[in-house]
Amino acid sequence: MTTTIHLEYEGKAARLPLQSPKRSKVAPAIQRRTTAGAVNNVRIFNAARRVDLKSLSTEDVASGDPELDLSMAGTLADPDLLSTAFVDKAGTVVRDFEEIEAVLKPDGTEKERRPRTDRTANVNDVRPIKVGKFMPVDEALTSFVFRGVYQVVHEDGLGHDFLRGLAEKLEKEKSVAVLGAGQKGNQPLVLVDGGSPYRAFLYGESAKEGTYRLLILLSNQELKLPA
Amino acid sequence: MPAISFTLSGKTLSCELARKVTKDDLYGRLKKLTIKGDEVLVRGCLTADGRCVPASSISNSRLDPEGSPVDKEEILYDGTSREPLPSSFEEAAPLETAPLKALASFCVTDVYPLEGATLKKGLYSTWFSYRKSPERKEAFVLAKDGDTFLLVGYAKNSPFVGKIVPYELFDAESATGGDEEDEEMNFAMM
Repeated sequence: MTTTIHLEYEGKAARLPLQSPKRSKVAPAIQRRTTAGAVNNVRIFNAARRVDLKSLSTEDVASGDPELDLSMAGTLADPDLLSTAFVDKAGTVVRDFEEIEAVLKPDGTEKERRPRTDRTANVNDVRPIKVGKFMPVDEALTSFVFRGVYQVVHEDGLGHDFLRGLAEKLEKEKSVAVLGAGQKGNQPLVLVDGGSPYRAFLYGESAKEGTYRLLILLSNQELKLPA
Repeated sequence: MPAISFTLSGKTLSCELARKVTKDDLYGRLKKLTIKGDEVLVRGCLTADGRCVPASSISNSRLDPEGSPVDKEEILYDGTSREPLPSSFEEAAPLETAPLKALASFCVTDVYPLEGATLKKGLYSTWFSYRKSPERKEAFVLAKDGDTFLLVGYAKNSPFVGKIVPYELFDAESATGGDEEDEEMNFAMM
């Protein structure tokens, strides 16, 4: 499945394929085995039982195992036969619940609660991703932690000229361009529905014989120490 | 903090590996909650016979073909057995100067500050392995403005493209979120 990016630069917009370059080093195929044969990863029921520890007395713990439920312990938990449920403190299944998200500060304290938002992909939206401000390439590479690298390529001659021109300009100015989504072009990029938002930078290089390399660098973190 | 050493031009450089820095440490994080009223509900599982068990009562395990829990296993890499190599704390990894643009095709998975590192400003390629393992991860050490970071991850081979795009050099799955994380984030950074 190829992802398409709708990119706008200097008033020209184009829908272009977004490719994922292969890793430089191919990860080895890992097999785990014992003398009996290949090892299988499975999910099993352990003996944990949900109990309110504050409600237990020392006598309860000494006389039995209230924190254990051995009836299903050791049996396989087939994901196809399990359904997700949400339970309250009393252990009752709750059917009418609300899904929210809590914003936590770096120290773990809760800042606010708000309705849960489901992000949708925005790289191939009606509104194109805008090529925004340029920033020095060295500053960008040493200021942000890049989590993903994707490559924009062309499908036809026009696309080739458009992208090569952009790559040449970025290289000549020793800059990367900040990419942004939305009407103002200041929103982070979301590549897939439900995916994480990333700040994106366009990195370009060109070489002889009309070749170029235009990379989208995705970052969700500055390269700095916590306050 | 564990001590870690590198070698550069025949000299040994010693420093300390500080705790990993994540985006949660810088900006906080979003936590998904399921609530009823003020009570936060706990995720559980309904079994086929109608019992409700907490999610914590299900564990991952490794079984052999006979159904016995695996005690000792052999790990094959590309079909062959390999001896584990010393970790980064047991062997000094060599540093080689690298062009800054190498970071443009490097996907970072972990960031560790290096405390007490006395390196000239610049980028150095190396390897990192937190534990003994047959595989070592690709890494860069970046010295900048008084701070030094160890960036662990993997490099991507992004090719120059001409009139004809060499699609065989790209992953077939393309940008469908292979590098995506599930977590949301706060964009205070921008």
